[in-house]
Amino acid sequence: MVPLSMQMFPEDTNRNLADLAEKAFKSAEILSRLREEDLEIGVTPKEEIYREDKVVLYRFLSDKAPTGERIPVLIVYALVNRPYIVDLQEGRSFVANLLKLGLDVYVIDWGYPSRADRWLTLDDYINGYINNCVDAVSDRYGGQPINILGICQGGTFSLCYTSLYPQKVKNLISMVTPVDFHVPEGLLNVWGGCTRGAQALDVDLMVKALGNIPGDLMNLEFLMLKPFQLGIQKYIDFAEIADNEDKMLNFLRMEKWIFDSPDQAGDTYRQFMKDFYQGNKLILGQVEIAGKGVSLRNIRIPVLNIYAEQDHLVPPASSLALGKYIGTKDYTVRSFPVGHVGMYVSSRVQRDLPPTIGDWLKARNGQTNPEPATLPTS
Amino acid sequence: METNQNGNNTEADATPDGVRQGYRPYDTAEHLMKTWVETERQMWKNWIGMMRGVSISEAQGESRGNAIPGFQDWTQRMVESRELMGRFFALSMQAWKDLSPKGESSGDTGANHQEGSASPEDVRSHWDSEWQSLLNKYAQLGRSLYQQFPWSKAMPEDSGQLWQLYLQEVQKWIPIWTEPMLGALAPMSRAATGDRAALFELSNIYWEIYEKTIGNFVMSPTLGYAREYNKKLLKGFDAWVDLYKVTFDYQVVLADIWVKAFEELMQELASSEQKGKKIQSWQQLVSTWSNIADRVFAEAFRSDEALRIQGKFLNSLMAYKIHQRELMEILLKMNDVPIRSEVDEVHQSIYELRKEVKALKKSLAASQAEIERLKAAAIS
Repeated sequence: MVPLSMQMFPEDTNRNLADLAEKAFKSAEILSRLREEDLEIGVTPKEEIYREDKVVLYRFLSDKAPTGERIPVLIVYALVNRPYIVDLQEGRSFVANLLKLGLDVYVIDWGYPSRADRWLTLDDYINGYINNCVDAVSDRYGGQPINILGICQGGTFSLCYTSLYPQKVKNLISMVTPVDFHVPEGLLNVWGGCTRGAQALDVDLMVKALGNIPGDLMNLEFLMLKPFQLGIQKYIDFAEIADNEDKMLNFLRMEKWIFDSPDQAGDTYRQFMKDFYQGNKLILGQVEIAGKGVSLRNIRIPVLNIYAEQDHLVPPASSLALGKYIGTKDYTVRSFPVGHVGMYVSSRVQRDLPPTIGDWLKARNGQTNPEPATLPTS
Repeated sequence: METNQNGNNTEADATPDGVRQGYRPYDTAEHLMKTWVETERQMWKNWIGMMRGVSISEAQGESRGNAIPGFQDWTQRMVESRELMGRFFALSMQAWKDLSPKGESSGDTGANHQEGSASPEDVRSHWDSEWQSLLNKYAQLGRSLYQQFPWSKAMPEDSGQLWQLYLQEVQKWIPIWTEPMLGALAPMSRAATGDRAALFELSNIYWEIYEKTIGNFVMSPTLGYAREYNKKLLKGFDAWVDLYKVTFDYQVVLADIWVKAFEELMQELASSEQKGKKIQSWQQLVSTWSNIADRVFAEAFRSDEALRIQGKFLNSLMAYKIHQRELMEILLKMNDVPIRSEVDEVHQSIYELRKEVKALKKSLAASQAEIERLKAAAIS
């Protein structure tokens, strides 16, 4: 039956193999010339403006208007993977495109947590690092509230932060952000224990065994979501472009980013997995950080929710749930027909996403936010 | 024309590709067992003969070849004991033969005793009586062997009681093996037809035997100076067994995914062909395969069963790692090397102190700001 449905005659197969061999030799020649240093990542100049433990807050430099006249945006990236994906390379830099629109862009670099950081909790990240970074940026703007752009897990952190410190955030942009962790389309949710809890993943046992959760283990989990496409197909496709140096460099930069995964601080991972993935406490209003309750209803500032239509890590339904639970009346949703990673590197998204954000922020720059509601206490 | 040991025509039994009809793995196993028993019997004879020559000459200062009284008989008993052991294995083999027709889909039983397909109860009854008889003979022989051994003359005569106890204990163990073997018949036949659930059942039956025997022993409290170390060692072993067991289940899930994905690929190719679409390059084939395989993989790992198995696999892996570290830390401590747990403890203390210092600094800064504000207010 197989031969009938295939037109791979010997001459075609031979031509195929000859093409592949030619590309393989060419790619070997290119690879032999390349060095790790050639995979330059993070091309936009930046300055360090705040540092605490391993966390560094950077401000991207621009030749546009001085700080006082620009709109400050703090990017809060996920703890998984490195934040330089937002400034990957010349021509594919989300940050550079935001700068061109007159935004003053800051990013928190979480660093690489070591075993000494295994006791860090969500309290340290949200009430500590994020709050201190927000203060550092806000100080440059006379103590005014600033804009936050939370990406993926960083978006979830940003929602928690905004709920706890509504007076410090002017506008919130959540990008590919998981909100409802029990959306069954997300295999990551299911594996994280949204249906079977500790039977699917005993988080306490894992943290006890590993201390910090190794980045490589996290990567393996992500790869296992699509093992054949990400483990085989991707490299078959790579063979097709391997004779082009520019395309090969792009591919290698993405490889570097994907596999450059910091370990996850054990206690933070424990709390995030148990409260968010297994307990789905964010939408239930039951998350507590250092004894303070997190309620999405408390977010009354303007919110722009951006999701990827083909996201297999954060299903659209998970991000879209935000609309049901958030307290704001100024809520905007935008989507792009790409996957999770496509949101950072797709040329179409690179073209359309920065103006979407820039225009949305500029439209709200002069507005005064409503008074924050009384903070819920536990 | 060749004939095999049973007088059957091997050429007639052979298929064109060389595979004999009615071939059963236990035929070879039985042959091997017989050879082994015979070899062992000869080895015992030779060894005892040699020992007799050496030990007696050294013990009595006499010339080689003079046996002490009774040693000849004892040697003979030992050889008989080996022969009984041979029967024990033969009986085990026979039991499997009795059981195997039930577990096979083909009706060709091959041997006379398998014909008629006796019920599992009949087989068990027959088997139990055979076991009983063999054990009694074995015990009797053991007793006489013990009593005839030259050095046992000074031992108490009521050693029979010991043998009774021994026999009773041995008899307790028989059902632990026989019950699961009989219980394995149904899943074995279903497994032969590709039923994945049957593989899990068989695996569970196998591990139940382990739990009731070695597993039970491993989990019992231990005694003596090294009890704490032994406990950790045995718990580590038990954790490894758990991991080993669930790894098998996980592999079955993965194997099932491969089979299903391949089936779906075939269906996809057939369906494409009907629509006039054809695969024209190996890249296209790999792409089709990857998409199908990933979909099947995701569907499988959404199922409750696969999720449970994956969870058990991960959790067992973590539990094993914890036990492994505990054992490693014992060795490191013995060699004055700082251990993971100690370093974690130090890190925790540092983390707590660091957090306290940060909070104090913040509080101090707030107080200083308040003082400055009050000072400025007082001046104005």
